[in-house]
Amino acid sequence: MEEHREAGKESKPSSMSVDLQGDSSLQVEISDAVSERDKVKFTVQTKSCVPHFAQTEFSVVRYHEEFIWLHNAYVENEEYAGLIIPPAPPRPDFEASREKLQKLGEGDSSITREEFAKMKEELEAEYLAIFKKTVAMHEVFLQRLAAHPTLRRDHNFFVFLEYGQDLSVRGKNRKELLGGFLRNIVKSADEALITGMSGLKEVDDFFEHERTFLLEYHTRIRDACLRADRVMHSHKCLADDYIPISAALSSLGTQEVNQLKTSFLKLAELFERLRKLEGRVASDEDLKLSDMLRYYVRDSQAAKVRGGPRADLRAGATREGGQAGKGRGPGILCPCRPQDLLYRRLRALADYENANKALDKARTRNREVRTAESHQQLCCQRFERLSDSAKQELMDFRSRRVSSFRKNLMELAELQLKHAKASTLLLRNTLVILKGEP
Amino acid sequence: MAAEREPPPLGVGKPTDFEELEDGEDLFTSTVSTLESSPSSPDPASLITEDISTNSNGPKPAEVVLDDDREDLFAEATEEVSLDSPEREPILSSEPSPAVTPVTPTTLIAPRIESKSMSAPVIFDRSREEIEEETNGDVFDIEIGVSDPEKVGDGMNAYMAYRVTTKTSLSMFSKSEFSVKRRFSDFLGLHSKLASKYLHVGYIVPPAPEKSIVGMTKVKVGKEDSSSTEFVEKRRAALERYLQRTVKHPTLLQDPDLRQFLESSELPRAVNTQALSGAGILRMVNKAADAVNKMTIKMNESDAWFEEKQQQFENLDQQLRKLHASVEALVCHRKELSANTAAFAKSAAMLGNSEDHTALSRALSQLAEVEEKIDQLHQEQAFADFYMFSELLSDYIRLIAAVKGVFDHRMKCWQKWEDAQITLLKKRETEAKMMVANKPDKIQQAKNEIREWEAKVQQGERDFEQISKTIRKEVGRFEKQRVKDFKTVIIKYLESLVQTQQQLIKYWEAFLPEAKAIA
Repeated sequence: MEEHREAGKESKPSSMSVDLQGDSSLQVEISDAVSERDKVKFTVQTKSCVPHFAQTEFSVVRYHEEFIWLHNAYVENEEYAGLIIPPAPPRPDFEASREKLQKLGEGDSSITREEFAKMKEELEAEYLAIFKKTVAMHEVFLQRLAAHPTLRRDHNFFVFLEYGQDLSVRGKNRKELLGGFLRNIVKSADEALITGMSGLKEVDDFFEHERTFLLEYHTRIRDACLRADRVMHSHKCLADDYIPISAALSSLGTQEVNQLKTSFLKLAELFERLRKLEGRVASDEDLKLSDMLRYYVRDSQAAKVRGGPRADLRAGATREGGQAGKGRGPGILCPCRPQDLLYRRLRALADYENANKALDKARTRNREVRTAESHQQLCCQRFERLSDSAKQELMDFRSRRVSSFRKNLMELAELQLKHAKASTLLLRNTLVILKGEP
Repeated sequence: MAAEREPPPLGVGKPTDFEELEDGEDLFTSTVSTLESSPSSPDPASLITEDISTNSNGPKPAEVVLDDDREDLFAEATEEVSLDSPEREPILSSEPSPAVTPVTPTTLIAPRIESKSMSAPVIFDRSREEIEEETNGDVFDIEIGVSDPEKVGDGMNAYMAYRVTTKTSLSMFSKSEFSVKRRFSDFLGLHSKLASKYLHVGYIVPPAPEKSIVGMTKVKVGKEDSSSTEFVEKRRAALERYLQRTVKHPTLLQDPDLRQFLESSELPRAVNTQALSGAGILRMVNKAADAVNKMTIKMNESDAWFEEKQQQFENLDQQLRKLHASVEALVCHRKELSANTAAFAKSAAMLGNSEDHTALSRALSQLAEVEEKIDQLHQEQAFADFYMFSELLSDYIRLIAAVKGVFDHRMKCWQKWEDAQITLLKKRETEAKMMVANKPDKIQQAKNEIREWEAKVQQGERDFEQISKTIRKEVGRFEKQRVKDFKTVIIKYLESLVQTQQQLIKYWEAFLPEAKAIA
């Protein structure tokens, strides 16, 4: 595969889904990216006046696995239990695009040279678009971490940004994967138990509301995202259909000796231009709608309580089965499933309740009261701390979501308008020419 | 000229009349000058009647003098006809028919209407086409509509009856407006009769729509789903276009069978059109035989024009097929797009419902509404894609097959002439032999046969020249019609695309403030 370089700032749709408050003490961006055979090499550049760093400006090379390692490090850190960890960037996946290019290469002798060139151009553009998107996803991940007051101070984050050598992060081996898988099952079972516990009363209305909300929201946004993808795909098919039509019209035009000659040739030209416009409509839909929805599918996943172990299995296997690898939302076998914030809080509440009961028991028996007391204190503190930060995080999530939707829906509408107007102009001009000639 | 003109206002037809009027006049003067090609070029003034009636409320009749050339042709044809097929009555009267304003080709396009059913054809403005037609002397005042498909009967014997409405001021018809009920096999029967009369003398007889066993069975069985309604609509539109093309042919219009088809309330059932009937099987056998013959006839083409044209049509056929396949894919994908947009609209609505931020919730519901409207747009556009673009292409693919058939008939005619010449030669040889062998009675027989075959050779030559002449004229007419058809349809199709885009603009412009209002 040829190398594709990230062009730099102008081509980045990085702020597409995230509204970040610019805190200039730590700025992170991906200044360059190169696609090498089956890996993507990211150049992560940091500008910072944080005293910890040796220099104010520096950059390192990172691969996708290292991003995942960083994400897992956050997720597994107890201290961040009360926070929403930004979702991990999806693995760069050029499989589909590569397959299509290959098929084109082997392909069809029935298509003309011009058609072949155009289709190749289309596929290359698609490849480039996927590439840009994956770079943007990785960048957004880092930028969200850099913007978060607590997460940005993490030691692993510093290592990630600064350490010049390879982090030697190997992918999890089978045992670890299995371990992770089992842990998830245990967690799901635990969750089911906790939520089913009648003794456990949700003390805070806010959280009760959030729980039901997130559950429903997550399902629906995932649905919307899937369908938006299908719309985008149809649009792309439509745009691609114009290629053979334009080619056939063109050869019809060259063969004709009568007045239809100009008509056909003009029409061929028109369809060629329309194709490009339709292509842009499709890709804008993709960027502004699908990608945004997709991002929030993962973000709401990070926040919610899953509906129970059955729901996970269903989600992992059937719904997302056909879309594996597109980073649609971690399936059950993904090792980097984020700790669900609300679940963690409930867990803390359960622990707190248990500690209370243990304390009572100790008191009646008058044994080990001290330990029981201190344990209970600890649980209480943890729970309250979690609750506070969780509340904050959830409110942040909401406002981020609202402003991101606003921005993207506006841009979507504006772009669709722009394309529709361009199409109209193009069609009208062609009509004038066609009607004008005898 | 084209560059400075401002784009015509949208809407199907009415305002564009006035701008195009100038165009029409220009056309008019230029085409008149090209009429010099005919030996007896008629006085332009007598050709024209500027009758720009735009609807069917009894257009004013006017005088028209047909080409002298044409009249001769017809006179000859009458003679020919009586020689070859005695059962046929003269197909033409040599006096000019007081035909007036032409038929519009634009009735072939299904209208863009809001509801999904496209049953009633709308007659669009015809003014431009009329003027063009008049300059060629091809003026007809006859409009055909096929409508109201109605299921008659039950079970496997059921069939669809269509109403065929004719509006005309031609005097050969007894009334100016009348309608009859016809079924599909009636149309096939009509075509079969016309083809048997005119194809082998070189007239391009428009082919009838194709049979479809699957489609019809579904309808018979009574499935009321959308695919059978679509099938019926597709067929209705195809039948309408078929009749319109047929009546546009000046020779065919004069045919009594056609007249009977349009006028009489009862029509004998055309059983020979059934696929599995004896006649059907015979047809298949003949077709196979023809194919073999075509390969074996080696004609000395003395006229490069024919070779050129055949090649041209062959190329055109290939290209049209390719284009047609691509357009069918387009229709399919657009339908898919429509379905997917509808599904997305629903999930956007659900998302809006579960969103607790009020402004965002409202915006999402609005988005859902917009997407629903867009889905409707896509569906309508898919109809336009199909009925305008795709069906035009498939019609012409079949028309070109008819053209190729006509060329083949010419070859057969030539072959017949050749054979007659060869036979004549043989008869002369026989005579010579008899002379030598001195058998007086055989000599007489030989002389008779020679006379007979001399006549046949002469006839063969005449026939061949006749068919060549007819084909030249027919091809000329066909090409003119093709250019017109394509241009008209292309323009209408592009206008449909423009309309879709404009609607999109309207919808998104309405949505934008909602998105901005999210606070």
